[in-house]
Amino acid sequence: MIRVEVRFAGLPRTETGVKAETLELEPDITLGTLVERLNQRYSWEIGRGESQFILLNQRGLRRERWAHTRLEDGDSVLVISAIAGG
Amino acid sequence: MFTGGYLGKLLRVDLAREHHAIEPVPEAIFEQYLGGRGVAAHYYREELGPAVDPLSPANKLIFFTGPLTGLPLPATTKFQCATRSPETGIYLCTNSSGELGPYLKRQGYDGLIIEGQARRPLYLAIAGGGVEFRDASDLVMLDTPAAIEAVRADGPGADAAVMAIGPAAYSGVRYACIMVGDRSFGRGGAGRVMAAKGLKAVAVDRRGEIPVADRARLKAILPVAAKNARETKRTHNLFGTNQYTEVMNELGCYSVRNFTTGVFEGAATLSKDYVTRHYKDRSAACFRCPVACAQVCSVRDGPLAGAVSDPEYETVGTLGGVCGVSDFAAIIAGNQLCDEYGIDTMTVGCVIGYAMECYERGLFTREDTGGLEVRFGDAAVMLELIRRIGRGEGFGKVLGKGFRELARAYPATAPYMMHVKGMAFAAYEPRGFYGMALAYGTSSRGACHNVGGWTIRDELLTGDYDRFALEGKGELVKRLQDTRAYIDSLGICTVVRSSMGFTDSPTGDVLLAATGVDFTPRLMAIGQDIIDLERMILVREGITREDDYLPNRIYTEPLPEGPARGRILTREMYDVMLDEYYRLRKWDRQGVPSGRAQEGAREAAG
Repeated sequence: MIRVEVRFAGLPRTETGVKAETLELEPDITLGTLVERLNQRYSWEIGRGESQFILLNQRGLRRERWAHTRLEDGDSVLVISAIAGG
Repeated sequence: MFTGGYLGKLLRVDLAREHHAIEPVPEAIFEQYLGGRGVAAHYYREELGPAVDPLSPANKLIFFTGPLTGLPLPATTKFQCATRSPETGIYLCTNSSGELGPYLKRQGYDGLIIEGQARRPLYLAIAGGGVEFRDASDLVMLDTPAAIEAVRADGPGADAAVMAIGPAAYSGVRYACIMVGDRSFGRGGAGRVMAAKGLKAVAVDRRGEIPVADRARLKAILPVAAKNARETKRTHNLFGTNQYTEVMNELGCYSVRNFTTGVFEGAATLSKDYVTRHYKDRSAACFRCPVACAQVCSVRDGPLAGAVSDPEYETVGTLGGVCGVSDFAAIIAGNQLCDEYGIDTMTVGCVIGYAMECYERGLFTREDTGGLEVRFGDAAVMLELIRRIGRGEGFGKVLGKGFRELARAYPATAPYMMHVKGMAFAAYEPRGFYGMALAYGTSSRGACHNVGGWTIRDELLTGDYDRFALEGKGELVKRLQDTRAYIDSLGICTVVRSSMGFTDSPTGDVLLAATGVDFTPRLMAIGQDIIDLERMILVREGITREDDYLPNRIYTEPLPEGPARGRILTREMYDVMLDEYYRLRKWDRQGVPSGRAQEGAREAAG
């Protein structure tokens, strides 16, 4: 099993009510699969709309790459929202 | 030939002679620079020589609307001001929301140029296309809400739009703003210029019509654009721009204790959820805005009970993070004080943060500060300093000078001044994402996240860029700046712009419907021309490559903690980005527009 830290900020934190959690996951799991599980867990669609983003180890990752990105032990996933402006 | 959107006229007001004139604005100027920021820069270049003292009668306040300002579309609220900044000593572009721009167009004018110096305190009442010069002797030291109320009561109508300056402008605060109702021309000290001119306020009657080329088409566009804006900006309505506080802190890019670190242990009580739960009263909207991103907050108990204001992300990040203050009640109160005195919240937060660091380092003493222990995290001291700055008292008078003057008076403290070209940083830590460093460095008005380019979405989130990479940042910042330059010239708010197709690949027929001319395919090129024009102005005012650098802290001190821990941006690394940026702009290595860019700017300037 691998351990992956998942953190939420912005709207995702409000919607899930969670700031951070550490999950034990099977080896070879992809980021796409993790997102599907999180959606089921929180009954909420992570990655919905263009204003939500996922950073893997502090690097942004376009959603089309989520399904092909394999997670590793110690990875940190940050689910975040941002819209132009500021 | 324009058949709508533009009026083709500007109103020129000479305060010394109490005289006004109506002048045509040639269509060629709109074709070249669109309106708003671009056209204001054009008039600035034509009329303000490089030696003009910002506080002299020779300085001017050049206000321009855009072709969309005031039209029946979402958030057509913006208008622009160009002037010589008393904070930076150079060209300033600054924009505001509010009703005044739209109402000015209803009066028949695209622009308003205010020049000279009044011989008595004045305010202007604009109605029926004409101008009255009214005595403002009794209004001078009123705070901005009281002044606006008094002018409304005495002016062209109770529902007139009013912009006014507060006591800070008269106390010599070089970053005093102009309040436009409850919005503002915030940055750069346009309010101080207005005080030097002896002008307390401008009121504009609301009545009038703005011509539109194809009203039926605009009517069809409006509901679609408004629905799109409401749906895509839902979080703006719920939380406003302060939604970024916890995001920036998570990424280690927050503005903390005068930019000594990028992580704030007190961010939880500044976060949107905490603020919504404990302080938010309602969302509020600007003129014709379907989003309503302002978050009106109030303090319900404790020593600051009764304070009411709507702090934006930048205000929270500067009065809060930069000063190490985690008490949101104090930020609501501080923001309210700034609005009442008429002070730029961003600069004042950075100036107080600088004073706090210098005091802790022993560079300022209690003798300097009038007995105050000026330490990070002390909310009461932060508020007291805003009061003293606003009133021009003691240490407040000193801090009101802004970084450029402070560096001359206190050279030993200069390393702790976080600014570019004299303008204080916004609330983003540039060592946490290098594109923001380039944005601060190359913004035409000094360190700014708007004019400079808001790189966060592209750099931190999309995966298209590595935030700590150098390559590609010149292209990114150039593209964002060109986009922003044309947006600032249209007269709409950046929050809703994409709902009308105004992105870095502009689409749609809004401009065709509004003006009868399809600017859309040329918008990015126009944005580029505006940036070139502004750079030519800055070069004429003595700005060189050396002025495009950030404070040494960014180049020499690694971030001590958080996700960006250990990150540093050396001058050599910064040079890689700056060289790429200059190259793409076709500027030479000193940052001077050359070849076609220079010719284009010169030709366009007449």
